[in-house]
Amino acid sequence: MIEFHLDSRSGVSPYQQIVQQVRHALRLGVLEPGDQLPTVKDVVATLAINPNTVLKAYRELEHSGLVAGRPGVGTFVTASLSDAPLAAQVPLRRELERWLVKARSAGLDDESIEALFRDSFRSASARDIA
Amino acid sequence: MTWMAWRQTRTSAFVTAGVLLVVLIALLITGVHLNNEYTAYRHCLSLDCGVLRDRVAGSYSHVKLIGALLIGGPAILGVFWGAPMVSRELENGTFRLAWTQGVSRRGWITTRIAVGALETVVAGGLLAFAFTWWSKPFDLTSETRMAPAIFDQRGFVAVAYALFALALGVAASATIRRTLPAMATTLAGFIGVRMIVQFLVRPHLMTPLTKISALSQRQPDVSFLFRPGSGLRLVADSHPQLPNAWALGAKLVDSSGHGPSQGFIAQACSALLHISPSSPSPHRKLGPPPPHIIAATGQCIHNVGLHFHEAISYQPESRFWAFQWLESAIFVGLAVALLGLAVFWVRKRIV
Amino acid sequence: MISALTATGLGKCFGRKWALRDCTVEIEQGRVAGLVGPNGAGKSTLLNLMAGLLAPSEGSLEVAGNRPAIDEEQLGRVGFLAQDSPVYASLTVADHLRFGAHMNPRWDRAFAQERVTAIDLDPKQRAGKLSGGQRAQLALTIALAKRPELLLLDEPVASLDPLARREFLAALAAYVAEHGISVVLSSHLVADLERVCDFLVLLSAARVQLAEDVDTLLARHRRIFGPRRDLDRLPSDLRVVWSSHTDKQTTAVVRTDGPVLDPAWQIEELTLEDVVLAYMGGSAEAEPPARPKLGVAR
Repeated sequence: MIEFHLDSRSGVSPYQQIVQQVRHALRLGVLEPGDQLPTVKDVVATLAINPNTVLKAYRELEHSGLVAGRPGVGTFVTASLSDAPLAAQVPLRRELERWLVKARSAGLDDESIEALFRDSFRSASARDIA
Repeated sequence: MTWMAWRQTRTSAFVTAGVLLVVLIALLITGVHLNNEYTAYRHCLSLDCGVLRDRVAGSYSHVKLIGALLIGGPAILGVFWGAPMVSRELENGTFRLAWTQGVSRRGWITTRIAVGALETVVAGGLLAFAFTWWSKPFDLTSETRMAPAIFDQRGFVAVAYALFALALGVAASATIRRTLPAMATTLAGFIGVRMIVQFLVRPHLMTPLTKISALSQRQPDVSFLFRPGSGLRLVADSHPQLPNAWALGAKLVDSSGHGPSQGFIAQACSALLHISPSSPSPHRKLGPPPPHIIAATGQCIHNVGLHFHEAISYQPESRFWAFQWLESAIFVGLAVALLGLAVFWVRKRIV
Repeated sequence: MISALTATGLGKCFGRKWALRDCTVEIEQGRVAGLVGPNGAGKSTLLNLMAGLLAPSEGSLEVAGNRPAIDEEQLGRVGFLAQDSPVYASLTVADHLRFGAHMNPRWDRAFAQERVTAIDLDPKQRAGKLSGGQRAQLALTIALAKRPELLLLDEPVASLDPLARREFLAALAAYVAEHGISVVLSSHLVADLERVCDFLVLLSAARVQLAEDVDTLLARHRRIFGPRRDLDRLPSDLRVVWSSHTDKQTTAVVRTDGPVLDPAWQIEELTLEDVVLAYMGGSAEAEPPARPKLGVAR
């Protein structure tokens, strides 16, 4: 069983935060198939959020085939996200670290690096959408 | 809702019950003794029964003050139970709690009124009944139940006053919506209506009877009034007394019911008129009047008495219960009208 | 389908002053609707109208399928928690539960007992000596234990400290999750309602400025900024809610059904608070009131 938390200043909507936290837990292996997610009532009572928000997040997770609801019992994890992507991460991370060294030697401070990354990320996603 | 209405008046109801219990015990203990004294007087065979009678009449003058509860109690009840009933809820905001539960406003106000009225009738009825019983020896020896201040303390009319006071309080509470002004209005209104009924309405509840009696020189039935310009006027006794009756007023009448004319007085009392212009004595305050004035006065009364009698209008003791019913009906009628207004106001006119 | 709230041309005036005007809103059953707006915007008036404590001056109003406070059954269907949670100061907590039980035919005694224990209230305590948070919890207990279909809360958390605020909203949300009732609650702070609401009604100057599903609302509003330019030449599907210009830059909050495609603009997503502030800032500007408020006040 995991517990959710919400960052109200992140700008990410609560339902997306829940989805992300479940995916994150799946990716890190904290949640495995067969594990139960907290009930809607429990989540709502700890986070003081709208029940529909939790339902919506669970529905989305269900849609992506990660969890399944069993009426009257709860919501259970049915799939895992932990193996393949984890292996792919290693070379990517190395590449990114090399790029960071390059950026620093070019005179960029942390803030500029972050701004550059965020901007490139956004324009790349915009191109994908278009 | 009944539970809530009871719960909200519980504390004051307990206090009232406590006071009432003490009063009833005091009345019971003294009343038994008083009745024994009265029985002794009734079975008196000796010559100085008057002493026993006076002893009954003069005893327990301090306990008699309990009767003031029957006069003041209704006002207190109207002010402290009636006047806060709606306005306190409005002032504290609790009406938002009370009027959004599964009981309609109509149910809420009628139940609160019903519980208040029931408590009023029970407490007022007990006190009125007990005090009426306790006062019986006085009524049979020295007091007239029809007399204004006594009438209110006997029978059940005080219960009707109390219901009226409660209704007035609730109506003021609902329409004014603020407790203190509602309390002041209730007190002023209650005193006002009681005075109006006592002095203007009650004397005419039934047509007064008239007692005709001859003018007597021994009793000061007639007083004289000089008015500059209009000469002498005769005024009948302004506070006539009759045993076992409530005397309302007296006037001089001849056999056809008319009062004496100016001309007649001028003629009958010429001796008196003869003195008056030259002497300021009628306005004198101290000492007995000089002999020649006494003689002239006696002459005047004698002459007037040849043609005129004193007519005292009064309500007899035998009408006591009829008057209790009539006056109670007036106050209960007013109470019902005021409660109707209060219910309407709470349902339709508040917030 | 019965709506939690159907208001048509609803208005209420006190003397000559309109506290609420032209209010046309529909809220579906099962929603948790937030009623936001500055103080004096008409939030309390709307809630008191819904609770049947006020009578409308014009227009019509139905809550939970019937006119407010029309009969005792309707009164039982709607729970109301008034501003500052009024309770009877001289009555104890237990007395309040007895009050609720006597006043409501559908009263859930077990639930009320359980909740009083859960929130750690002493049944013998006089309500007048409770803290603000405890009083609000007691009033909420009464409003919930009557088993309403629709719960109305007027500024329920305004007087509470952050912890009590959180506990109150958590209790409310948990109840909604379990029983699926409709809720309308007001606050002058959007932050209080952001998490718990899925529908938003924005009131300002006695009028409804916005009434929409929160997700739709967030999806349709964007902040755009870029080099200074004239906003009149924006595409017709973009409507400007709020704008600000400096000599070099233009910033605007726009409402749109599709994506903003113009590459000259940088685009940001908005929080609920951003959207609300944009609308309130917009209404405070010297724009003619005749300008339609983007057609969202349906």
